[in-house]
Amino acid sequence: MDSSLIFTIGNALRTWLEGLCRAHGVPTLVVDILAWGTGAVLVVVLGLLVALFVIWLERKVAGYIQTRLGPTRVGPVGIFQTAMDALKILQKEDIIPRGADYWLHLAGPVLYFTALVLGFAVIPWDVKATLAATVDLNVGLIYVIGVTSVGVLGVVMSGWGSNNKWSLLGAMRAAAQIISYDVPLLLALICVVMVAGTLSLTRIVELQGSAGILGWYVFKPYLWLPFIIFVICGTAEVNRTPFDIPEAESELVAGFHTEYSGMKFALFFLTEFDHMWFVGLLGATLFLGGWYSPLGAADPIPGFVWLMIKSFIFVLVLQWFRWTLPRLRVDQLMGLAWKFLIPAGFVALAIVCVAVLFI
Amino acid sequence: MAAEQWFANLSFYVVALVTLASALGVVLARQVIHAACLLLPTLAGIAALFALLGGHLLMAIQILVYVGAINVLIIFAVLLLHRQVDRQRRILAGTQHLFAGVTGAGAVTLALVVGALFSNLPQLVGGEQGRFGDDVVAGIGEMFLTKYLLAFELTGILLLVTMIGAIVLARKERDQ
Repeated sequence: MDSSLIFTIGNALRTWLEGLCRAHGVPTLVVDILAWGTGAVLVVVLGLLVALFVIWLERKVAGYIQTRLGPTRVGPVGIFQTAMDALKILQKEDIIPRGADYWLHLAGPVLYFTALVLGFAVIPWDVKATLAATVDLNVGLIYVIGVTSVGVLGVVMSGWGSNNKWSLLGAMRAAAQIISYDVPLLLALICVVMVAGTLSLTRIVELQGSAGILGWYVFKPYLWLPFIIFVICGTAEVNRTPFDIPEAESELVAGFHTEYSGMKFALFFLTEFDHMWFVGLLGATLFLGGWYSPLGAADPIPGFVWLMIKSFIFVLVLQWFRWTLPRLRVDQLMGLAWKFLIPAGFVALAIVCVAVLFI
Repeated sequence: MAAEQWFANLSFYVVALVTLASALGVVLARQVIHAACLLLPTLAGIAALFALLGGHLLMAIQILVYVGAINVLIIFAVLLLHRQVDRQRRILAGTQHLFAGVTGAGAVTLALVVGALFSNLPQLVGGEQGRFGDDVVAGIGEMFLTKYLLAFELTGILLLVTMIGAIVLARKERDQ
């Protein structure tokens, strides 16, 4: 798998670019900075492209669940519909409501997007992904949780800065929901960390590859409860139905992004769909064996492709949730987190403690 | 090597500048909500300083605890108490500038002192990594459960007491 195609092409490209820079007398330091920068930009661009694809997929899935076709006009099976929508939204006027707090209104979507993109830095894409800017951080999982939790601040800033009661109510709901669901999510992740014995995402994936497909954490019975908690909390973290009360259309217009238009709205939109993919990537990394192939080590398909397939399984499940389940009420939502998921998380922790000690 | 040192220095000065500027902003901001939001770059800048020194665990904890929890809490408090804060600000309006100036000068001085101390910090961090090897997290965890067990347990009890206290306070409000 070390000789995977993407890996080889990426390395060749990098070697060639570095050689080109050196031949023209560019200092090594500048070459290094350029390499890091290129990797970082590549990850962000990949995120944006995937977001476009996920939005198209969402419309198709919604269409099929509701027995209609979804987008069909632009390109084959409507695949370029979202790209055209993105071009359209680029030309839209950026409206800032009177009485809004300009800086908070601006900082909200930017922070919301940045917090998510920072999380992509530690996702292990492939065996040795030099193509993308992956950092094998010793504390990768804590970093991911910390960085993505900053996104709440973006929501609160935009809700307050819009000077609109729907926005503020939506922001308060979003913050309460994300903070509540962070607790059981952390409990579920601690279970994985206890089994793996490390916080590095790369190491967690490597540990799952030792015994073929049965080594994946999702196939360990004592990690089933954490896995279910992770999926439920992941759905809540991305504010999707049945947990989409922060932007409940029937009550709050559009919640915290009611007063946004043009590219700022697009930033919210992209981040939400990217966040869904990010939950999929995290789930694939922690439970589904990351880049490892289910067919064994002799599989010619690159690990990166497997990671994408696995993360999109999560994305499809989240979309399936959204189009089949009704929205919860606020009190039901908080009750589910504090009265059911957190006790369940502690039970899971106890089970994993026993399992780690005796198995 | 010299070029890398130069780059590390440059990153330090950029991060320090951002941190100091936003810290000044926290003190000088006219609106409380702006001050609370400017705490974000300040605290994140400190996390970036930890990262520059190679203390990745400290960086992650700083982001998780200070940015993700404490800053959110402060902003929540400001949102919920905004009216009262406004009234207090009107009372304090006369002395505000003097107060802000003194605090700002104090903050800058403190930052300079901390900056001077930084010349020793890389060795300290390097020493920690030398002691714990590659896995700093495991090393620190082991220290918590052996050498610093008492402090660790006391902190746990303190947190438990705080949590129970918060629940008791919240319940009393509701009964009235």
